[in-house]
Amino acid sequence: MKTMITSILCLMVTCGMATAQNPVLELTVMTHDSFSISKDVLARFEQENAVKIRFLKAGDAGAALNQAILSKNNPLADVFYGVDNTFMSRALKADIFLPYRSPNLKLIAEALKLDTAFRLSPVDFGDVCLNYDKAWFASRNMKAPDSLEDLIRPEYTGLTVAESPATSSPGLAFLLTTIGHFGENGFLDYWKKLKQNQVLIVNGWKEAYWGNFTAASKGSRPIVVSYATSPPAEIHFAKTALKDAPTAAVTAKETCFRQIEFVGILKGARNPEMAGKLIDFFLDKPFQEDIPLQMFMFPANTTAALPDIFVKHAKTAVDPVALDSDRIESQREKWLEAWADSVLR
Amino acid sequence: MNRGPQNAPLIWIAIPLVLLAVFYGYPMAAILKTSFQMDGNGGLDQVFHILSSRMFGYALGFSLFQAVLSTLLTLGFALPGVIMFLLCDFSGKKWMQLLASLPFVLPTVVVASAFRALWGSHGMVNSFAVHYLGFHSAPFNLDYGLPAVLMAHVFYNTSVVFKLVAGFGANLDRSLIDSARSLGASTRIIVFRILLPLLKPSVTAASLLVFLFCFCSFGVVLILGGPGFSTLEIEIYRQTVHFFNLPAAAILSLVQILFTGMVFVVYLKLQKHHPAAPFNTGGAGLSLPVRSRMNRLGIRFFQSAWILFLGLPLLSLVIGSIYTDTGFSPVFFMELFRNPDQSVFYISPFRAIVHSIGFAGTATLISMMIGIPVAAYLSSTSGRIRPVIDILFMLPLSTSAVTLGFGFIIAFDRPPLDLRGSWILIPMSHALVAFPFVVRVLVPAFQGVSERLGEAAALLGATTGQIWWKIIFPIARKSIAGATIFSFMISLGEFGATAFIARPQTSTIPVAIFRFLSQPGSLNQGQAMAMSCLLLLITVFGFLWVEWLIAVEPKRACV
Repeated sequence: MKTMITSILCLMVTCGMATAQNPVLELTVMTHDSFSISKDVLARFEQENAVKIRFLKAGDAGAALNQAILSKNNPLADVFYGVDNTFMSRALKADIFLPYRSPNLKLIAEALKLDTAFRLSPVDFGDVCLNYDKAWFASRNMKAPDSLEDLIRPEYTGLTVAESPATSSPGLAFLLTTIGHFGENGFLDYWKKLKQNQVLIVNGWKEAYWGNFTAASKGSRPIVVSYATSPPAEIHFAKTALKDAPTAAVTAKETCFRQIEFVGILKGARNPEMAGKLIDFFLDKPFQEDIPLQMFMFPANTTAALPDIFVKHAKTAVDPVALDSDRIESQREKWLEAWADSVLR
Repeated sequence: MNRGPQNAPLIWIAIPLVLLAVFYGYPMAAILKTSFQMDGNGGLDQVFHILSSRMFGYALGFSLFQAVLSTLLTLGFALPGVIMFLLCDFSGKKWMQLLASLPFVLPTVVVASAFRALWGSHGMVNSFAVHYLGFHSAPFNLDYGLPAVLMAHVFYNTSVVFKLVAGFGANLDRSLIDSARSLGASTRIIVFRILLPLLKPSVTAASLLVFLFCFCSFGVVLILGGPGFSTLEIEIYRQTVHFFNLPAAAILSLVQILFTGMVFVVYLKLQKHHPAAPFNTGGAGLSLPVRSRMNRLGIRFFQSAWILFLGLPLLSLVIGSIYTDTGFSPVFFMELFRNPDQSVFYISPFRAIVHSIGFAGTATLISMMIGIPVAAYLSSTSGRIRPVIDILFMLPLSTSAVTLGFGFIIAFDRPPLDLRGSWILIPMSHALVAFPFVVRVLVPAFQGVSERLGEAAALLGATTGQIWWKIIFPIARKSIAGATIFSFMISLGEFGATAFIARPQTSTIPVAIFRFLSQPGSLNQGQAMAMSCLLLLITVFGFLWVEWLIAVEPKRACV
């Protein structure tokens, strides 16, 4: 018994030492699990402003935002990074952000500025769209898909894997794409036809991509719902240097949904002034140029230069569908119910 | 029914009660209160609306249905192996034990991909059937659906049954079986008339845990079931995260807890009629030499079944971590040590291991601090309060991780309990999952010892403290060690509870695995497999370490 307790105590001490942090002026950023930033980019901000940035990761984008809303009386953090346009209306309605007009907003693409009161500033964006396995289509001399309608053609039977919009954020984005393209009255018809065409619905992106996409696994589906930035990620994270991506993204008119991510200062932030400086930093060039290879999203700042791999291999959607954030929030449950009724049951 | 020396005073479990109240009761009360206040005028109407919805009926029905099936299948698969393990002497026993322990720590995504690599329509088994057995198309389609869910539940929970039943059985007195054998009883009679009745307390306890685990299943049903399937736990997650409908989530959470309570009442009824199991003081075990050819064959059969079902998925994972399209190479492991993108969130495998072990160690300490006194209390009390305490300490197991995680956010927001964002909440949330297991492992073991020896010692004038420290704890040390490694492993693999807690940059191995798998690219997948192998490796070391502890401890106990 004693040996056991001593050994466990030793482990605890090791753990305590590993997690201990020295106290300095701290600013806390709450964000979702996919957030990332380079060490040197962050270090420069910390040195210039004599501040220590602490990151709190709190699950996926929805879970993190809900935690921020729940703790609004006594916020966990000063800044929240990663409200997207599907959750924006919920965030604004909960009234958890302070308006802040960063001087760097002038560098940000106009089309992304959805909150006119600037409680939320656009910081990056990415397009959810179809990806396909180039080799699979080439070896069969088949035309790769370039529209949503292609997926319901007979020769595309059993080729597509998509995520369930009920449990996955790219899945929801794809459902919204079909609503934007076919309209609220037409999208269910499309899904019924997709179902007849043996679309495979899985619960999340990991399952779709790693479990069923022919280009990434032993799967049997050469078409997957993913991101327009997945092909450059395939090159970046390849075992051996690749000249060209094994996959390609479909970015034709009205085939994509644009996810725009926002950053804002939480009401009740202990140091709103420093938080403002951090927002400036998030919108500024050094961080914006860091975004592509850290998070595989596009910078919102139009002056930010893209890395080589993005210039060569990444595409942005030509004309992504646009859906109002209020409408998404108010109709989400209804659309998902209707979708589940016609596709799952 | 006499339970041990005397009725234990409630003070024994003062610390566990305080911990439970602070880290479970308080956050749950906080989240439920906030949830119901959110939609002030919904009231009872809303409750009826949710309870009469199709979603609710379906989720509850499926939760129950698959949990019952999973429990029966797990018992059917694990019990013969456990009996074999207890009754017979054969080589490779230690490996069987280790094999049964490993699946528990693996994240669901990893198990799902290992399963698909084996049983999927393009997996090894199907390819083998098509190429060598003359099938025209893949004979199994186990990619998604109920069979895949059930298989994964059996895969995970075999270790629960094994830990509880084999741990309990190892302490049984073999003289009964010896005398039965010398009187000419057949193996069948020994198993069905003697061994199984003796094992019953641990079998019911194991069934209860497996049932609750499957009833609250989240990842397995989500990933391997596919979008057509749903459990209460999944609906709670969806209502909370996607729709932010906290009142609905709170109602579902309460229903889930209520069901646990009902199942538990059934469990207590079953448990009441158990005969006291005779315990052996030396812990020599029951192992008998295998004599007949039939038995030898039977052992080989079950050993192979275990290796095939539990070992192959693990093997395919190990292969996945070292096999690249250019042959075998350690590239994925080497890559773990690099941070080419200079990310702040990069975690070196060394630090991930330190964090994981640190959290698991802390969680284990907490769950033993709660589990041992509670088990000691429960095994020496028979008052009316006993079932209440018993149920109270089971509730955390069936509480939705997202509900509790959100409860933490609301509850711990001001001093003296300003713990949000603190690392202590991570091992604490792990411990809340682990200590119900500890209690279930220890109660039957403590009872077995105290009913036989405790009374004798008390008659001879030993104090309660002496009885516990000098007799019960040393004799039940195998069970205590088993409970320790069990809670350690629960914490090592736990991701669900961690996912909903705002946490600083203290990545554990499961978190690192998720990070790798959330980006495309072959390196990411390979590194996720390599990290999973590290998780297995730590488990193997943990297992051997506890084995070593058991081996050294008796000397100290006798001095």
